[in-house]
Amino acid sequence: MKKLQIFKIFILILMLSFSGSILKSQDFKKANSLFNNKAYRYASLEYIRISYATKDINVKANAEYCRAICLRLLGENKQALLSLSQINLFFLKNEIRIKIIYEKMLNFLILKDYSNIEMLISKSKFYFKNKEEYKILLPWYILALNSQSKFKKAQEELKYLIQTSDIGEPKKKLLYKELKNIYSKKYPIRLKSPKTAKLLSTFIPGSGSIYNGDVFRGIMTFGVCTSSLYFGIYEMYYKYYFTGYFVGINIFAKSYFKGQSSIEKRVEIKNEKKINAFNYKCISIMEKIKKNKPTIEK
Amino acid sequence: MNKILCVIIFLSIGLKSYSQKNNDISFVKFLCDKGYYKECILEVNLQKTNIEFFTDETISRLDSLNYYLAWSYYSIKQLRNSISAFKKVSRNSVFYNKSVQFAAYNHSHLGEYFLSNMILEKEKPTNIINFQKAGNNLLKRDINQFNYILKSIDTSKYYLQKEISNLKEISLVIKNHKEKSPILAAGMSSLIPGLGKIYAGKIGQGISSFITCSMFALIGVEQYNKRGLSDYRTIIASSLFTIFYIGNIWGSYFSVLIAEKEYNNTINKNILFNIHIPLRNFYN
Repeated sequence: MKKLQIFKIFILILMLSFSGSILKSQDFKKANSLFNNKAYRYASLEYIRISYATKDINVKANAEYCRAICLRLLGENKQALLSLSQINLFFLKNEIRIKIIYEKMLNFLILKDYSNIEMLISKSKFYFKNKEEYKILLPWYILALNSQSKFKKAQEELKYLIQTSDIGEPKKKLLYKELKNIYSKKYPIRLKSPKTAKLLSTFIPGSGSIYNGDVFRGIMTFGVCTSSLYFGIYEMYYKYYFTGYFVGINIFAKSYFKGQSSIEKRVEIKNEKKINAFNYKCISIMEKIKKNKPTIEK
Repeated sequence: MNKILCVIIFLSIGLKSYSQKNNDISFVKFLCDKGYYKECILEVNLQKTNIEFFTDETISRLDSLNYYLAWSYYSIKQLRNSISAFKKVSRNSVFYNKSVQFAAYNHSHLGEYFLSNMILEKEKPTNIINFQKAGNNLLKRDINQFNYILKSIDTSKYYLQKEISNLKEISLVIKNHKEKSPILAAGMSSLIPGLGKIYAGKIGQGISSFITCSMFALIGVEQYNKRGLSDYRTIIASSLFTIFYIGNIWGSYFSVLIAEKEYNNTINKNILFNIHIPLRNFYN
């Protein structure tokens, strides 16, 4: 009889300890359902509640990771990075650690902070022994390398991704061909330097825009500058000094200096567009390797 | 025996969830301290809907919930919502004094000095409340009342010393300031284009408008001398000159008004800053 009572008490203690874990899993279920219904702010609140209630580091890290996804989808990338930076990567399990580094890299990529992405890759080399283990991070690394125009390294990484994928040999051969096509030239993207554009437009107004690829704009500025200068000199020749100076030369100076001041920004914007177009090509290759497709996994 | 066991298990689960609910105030405080203000607002609104009966315990809980709600609204600069939440904190609460003063501060930040003073006058005239009243009077530009209230403040308090001397300096600046008249500026601009803007304190704008006006005038004179009055180029130049001339007079009239507004805004910002620091120091 005594044995039976002890057994029952033992069961009671077990049930008590389980009830806590049941509550926790229910919390995660609730938060995930909120996340799936796109109520990201509420989901973030529930994830904070989980990380506040537990003392388990891995659960806490998982909750913070989920919260970072919510914040990223709300467009608050800096807040997401703040929430991720609270986690100490050293004591975590490998599965959660890689998730957190993945999310961090994605946020850095959105914020165009490429140096931090390289730092994270070197960190993951320290944490994981094989490259196979942190293969999931490579797509973001490749995109960052492309944007910094380090094409050789990017090509090597992409080649590695194709090599280690599970798709069949004929498909792999096709992908190699595509990769070669993209990276065939010495400079896959011809980025224009803003300094040369400015230098060109100081000597011949409008030539900087033509160098940048805006032919129509370049011709227009050249026409305006030359015609106003001609008008000014013509008027001065016939002794209309004030009209010549104020109308002709004033318009010339304004169009000349305005074109010069805006050329650098325009070149940078166009460069960014080119990089994005090139990155989309790389993403299309990565999507064909199904396992390394850059998707959000929970 | 089995039934008793089952009852105990259910009770334990219920107690656990109940204790979690009771601890929720500390969770709200955690959210507020960490700076998760938007989440804090959601959490408080959720918890408010859970309160069904009004006992002493729930009322005190509601007070602190309202306080945290107001504080998070205040931190994300939604001042109207913050005021309405601060006003709901009842007199028995620990947070009452703080919430009264911050509600008043929010009112004065929104430019409603009368409402701010009305809230403050209901309270006991302590040092810090008197200080805030004096600040409000300075914002209203009522310098006599400001000096009168300042006499009742104990200036030896460490948290007020510096700010009181700052406010006194600002009051002297306001006293010595002479308002510029927009009509005078317009008259000056009609004599010499751009002079009114220089009088308003915008020297660069004045010089540039003088150069453009004189440019059109010179072109007009030149065309008139060489091509005559009926030539279209003369008409274009002279009409451009008149447009710029009249526009400049109009502009200098408004530039004085804008300059006065800017001056008042910078002084108001300075005063609000000086009121804010002792409030934060006193209550934190």
